[in-house]
Amino acid sequence: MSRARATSGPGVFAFGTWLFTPEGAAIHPGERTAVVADVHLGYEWARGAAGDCVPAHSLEETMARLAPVLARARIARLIVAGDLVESSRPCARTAADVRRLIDWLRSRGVTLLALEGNHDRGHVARARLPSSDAFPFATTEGSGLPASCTVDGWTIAHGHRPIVGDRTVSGHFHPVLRAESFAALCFLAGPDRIVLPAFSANAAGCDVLAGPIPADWLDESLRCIAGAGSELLDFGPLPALRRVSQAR
Amino acid sequence: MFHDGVRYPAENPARDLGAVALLSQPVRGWFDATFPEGPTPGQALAWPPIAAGENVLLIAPTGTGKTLAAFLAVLDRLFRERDTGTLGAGLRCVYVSPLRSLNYDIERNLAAPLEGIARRMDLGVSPIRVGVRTGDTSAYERRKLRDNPPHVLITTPESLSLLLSHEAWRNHWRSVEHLIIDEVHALAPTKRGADLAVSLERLAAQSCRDPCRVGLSATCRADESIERFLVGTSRRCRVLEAPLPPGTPPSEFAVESLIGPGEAPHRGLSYRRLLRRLRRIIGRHRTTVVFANTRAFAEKITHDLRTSLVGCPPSTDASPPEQQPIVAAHHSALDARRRRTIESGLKSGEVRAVVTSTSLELGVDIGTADLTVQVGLPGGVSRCVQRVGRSGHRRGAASRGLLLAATPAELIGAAITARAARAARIEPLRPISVALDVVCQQIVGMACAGEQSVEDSFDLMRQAGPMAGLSRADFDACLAFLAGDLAAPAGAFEPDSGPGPRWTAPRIWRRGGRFGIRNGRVARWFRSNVGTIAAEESARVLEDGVAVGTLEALYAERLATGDRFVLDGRALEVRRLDAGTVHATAAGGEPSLPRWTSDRQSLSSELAGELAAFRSEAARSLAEEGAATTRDRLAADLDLTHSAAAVIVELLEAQERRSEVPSAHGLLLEVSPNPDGPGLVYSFHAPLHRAACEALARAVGARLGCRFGRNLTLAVADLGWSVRLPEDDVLDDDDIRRLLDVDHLADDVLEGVDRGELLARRFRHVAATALMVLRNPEPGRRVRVGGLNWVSTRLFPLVRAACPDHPLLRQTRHEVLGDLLDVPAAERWLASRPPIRIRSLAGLSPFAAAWIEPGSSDALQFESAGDALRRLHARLTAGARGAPR
Repeated sequence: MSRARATSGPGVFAFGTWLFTPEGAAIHPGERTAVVADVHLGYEWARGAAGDCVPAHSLEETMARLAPVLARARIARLIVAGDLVESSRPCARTAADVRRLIDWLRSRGVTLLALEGNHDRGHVARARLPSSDAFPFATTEGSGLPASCTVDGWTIAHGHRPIVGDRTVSGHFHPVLRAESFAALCFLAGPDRIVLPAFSANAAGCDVLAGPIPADWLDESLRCIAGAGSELLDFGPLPALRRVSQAR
Repeated sequence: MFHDGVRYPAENPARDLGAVALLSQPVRGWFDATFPEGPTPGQALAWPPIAAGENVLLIAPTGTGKTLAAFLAVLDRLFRERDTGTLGAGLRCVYVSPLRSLNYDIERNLAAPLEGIARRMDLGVSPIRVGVRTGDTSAYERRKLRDNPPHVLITTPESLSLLLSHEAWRNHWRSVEHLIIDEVHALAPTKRGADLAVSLERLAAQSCRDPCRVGLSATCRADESIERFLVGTSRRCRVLEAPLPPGTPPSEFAVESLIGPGEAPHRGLSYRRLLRRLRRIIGRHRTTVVFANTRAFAEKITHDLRTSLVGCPPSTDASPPEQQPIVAAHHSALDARRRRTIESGLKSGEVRAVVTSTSLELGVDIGTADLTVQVGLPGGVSRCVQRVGRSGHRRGAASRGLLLAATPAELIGAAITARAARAARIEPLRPISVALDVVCQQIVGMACAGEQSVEDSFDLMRQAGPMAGLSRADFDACLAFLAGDLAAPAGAFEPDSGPGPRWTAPRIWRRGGRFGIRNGRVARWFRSNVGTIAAEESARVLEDGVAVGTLEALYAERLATGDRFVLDGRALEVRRLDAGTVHATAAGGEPSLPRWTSDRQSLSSELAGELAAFRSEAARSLAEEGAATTRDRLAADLDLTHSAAAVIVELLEAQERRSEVPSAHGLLLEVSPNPDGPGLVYSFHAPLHRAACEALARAVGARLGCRFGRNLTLAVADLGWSVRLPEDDVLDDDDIRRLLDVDHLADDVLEGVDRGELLARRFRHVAATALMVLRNPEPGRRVRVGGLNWVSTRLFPLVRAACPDHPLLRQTRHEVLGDLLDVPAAERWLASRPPIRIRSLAGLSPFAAAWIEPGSSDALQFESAGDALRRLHARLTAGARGAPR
């Protein structure tokens, strides 16, 4: 059981060539890349389209959570491993939020690469999302968002469809570790795969302790690394953890 | 304020003749021929003032002809007009009841007099047309009603609100002269009532002459606020309290124990006895109504009775839905058509017994039930009387009720409830006060009907009784929220974003003292979300494609293909799940998932006080006179068998042996090791009802939590509460006295509320009623990523951060502190300096196990999420170390 090692600021957890941060990002310092998943920008506008009258918040929260991530290493590229936006038919206000996020990143010298997720795969999504040089895929003829990319031999993709690659980093499932009173964001990490927690606080989690989970997570080499606040803690292999917690 | 509140005390035979003589010839003729025994006291009292155009609140026992009492004078007037050739088209009378099923009954029950009277006038069909408009009405019927409104419109509060929001209905209200509100006692204490009161004012404002209002209520303790609920703040109301018809025997209330002396409460055993007892009862009576306190329990009982009554276990191809079984479940989550089939089966006698949660408490016509059985406590005397009143609906027949108790604590509660019911000690109704979420919904409804003046709308709203205390500042805050003008989180937008909308989808615009809806979508949203009933989100259940009813969505979410659950009294197997729908097929056999949720009825404050006094009095008798004498006395005083009385005596003896019976006014604190984890359980016994205990539990929890900085768990019930604290330090007596200090009680209650989830959970309902979040969103646009708890876990803190003074947050706090918690009662009791007794025990006492532990629980947070996670980490990884790697 290793505690978090302070490598790039407090609370960061080193896993091979990756650094996991308490904000829910995986940083590859060698590639100057940060990877997050399930940002769900425009969540409130999707709620609004369904008829809810709620305060706007997701852009602000995303930037507030990204700022410490970017401060932890010299990052030049942010990869969103799917579901950058909430709705497959995002509205003009979501597009504006995406544009503001791109501008905000660019002012910090960071480019954005968004990969396709189940929420942003629609044709409409591609049509409505802004086109810019920091966001090159939107101009790619017909193909829309790329499904995957590679960082230091790791294939990054959303995970809603099987990923081809020896070692993968994905999102989609929003793993959380839920106790009686709180839900802690949770990385699942093994020698050949990393599942990222949702970056958006709006995404309800998949409870790794008690909830139904994908069958292939019951793998003794897959560790659960969770954080609530400023540090990450290694809870050990997931199957053993589930046995202990369900026995209680 | 004009409330003359005239009350006619008893039967007055001289009035009866006068009342019938008021009616015109054909109406009188029909009545005399149909009811040769003459009008009931309620009818005789009500007809003259209604005919004279007075506002009337008629309080009469169930089954004494209230419908005709209200309607006959109104119909008489219409028949007279027909006779003189002045009866025109157009709406004349609007009848509102809280139950859809009741509405169909009323329509049917009006058909007989209308046809009978028409025949006496030599008319082929009745010249007076009646129409029903509820959520079940087809689009074709709705159009017909709109284009050609009936003379008498039968509707629900929700449908009335909906009709008022339609511009096409605006001119129809002009000719309305009578408003009849049924089941006033059930509406007045609720948000539905507050909403209806505003709707009635809106209707009245659009009619040529202020319609006269007739309220019908089952036995209740009427006070000025009930009258004001019915007639608003500026009208007079005559209150008529009708006695039972002469010769009616008084209602019977019997109590039986499912456990005997010497037996420990055993759930399986007493459940099997319950089924056996119910089978016997059902076999001996023509029709039996069984009340269980939860839908889930009603379903389980129905299912188990059905399999055993048939005499053989169900085969895998269980009875198809159209075949009528002899025991049926009836609750609001069943499909409407299914409910109506069951109701008519009851009336015809095909269905011998119905097991229900609350849906049959109101006056749905189920024919003549011989007996009502209550499984578990009804909570209050008024609810008990109301339920028992569902039987014996024939003139001269007594209502008969049996309360079945499964535990000693339930037995004592049932005996005390029955005693109070026999003495007719009905609790006063607590009418609803200003509800800002209802204000929001009504503002949107008004805007849907057309552009409105802010001033006029505010004045109109305050005409409604429950809204009399609405302040202009609150009204304006509601308008500002709906217009998207309330403050938003600082920096929600980048500075360069300009004055963009900071709230999604505002509902209204407001300009120059006027307001209206933003767009047509808002009207659509209003119409598909109208209503104030606090419902959990639900999932539809289709059995081989046919609608059976609904399940709570949180429950449905946990189902997987192949799981078996119970609905409509039958085990159904999940075949497929898609968004919001469970596709199932009849399975037969035992359900694998028998339980959905649990919900206990808490006692009224009156009954809780009586129960505490009873316990201490019985303990005194036990100490002074011994067990045998006490048992005999209890059996005689409470009308119990000796065996049941012995069960009570045994519980008291056990409590005296292991701890002590708390006094009638004092507090008993028992400290014992926590059986389920580290630390201690502090069990507090107090002579208070649940809401007061909840307030004290919050304050004590906050004081303990702040002192130790540890998360803790509360359990709150009637007559006490407990705190589980994972800390072994024993408090000394002075520390404990400080926990119960009356100073700063209200602040500490607030602290304890803030540390738990009560506010967040309540906010869901408030936000739904105010149409902040829609239960039925735009089709195809439902956002699922946040999960079912998004409103509690995300929206609530977001709104708090965005706008701490948001009217809906204030409404939520008001409901929690005013309705769920009874801070004043807690404060009064503490200020009376109750004697405090402290006992240190080796385990939970019998009283703590019987009353407090089954209560509902909430966790209070005093640790940061990081600390709590570290603690969880230490606990889980300590266990994992030994696990194979």
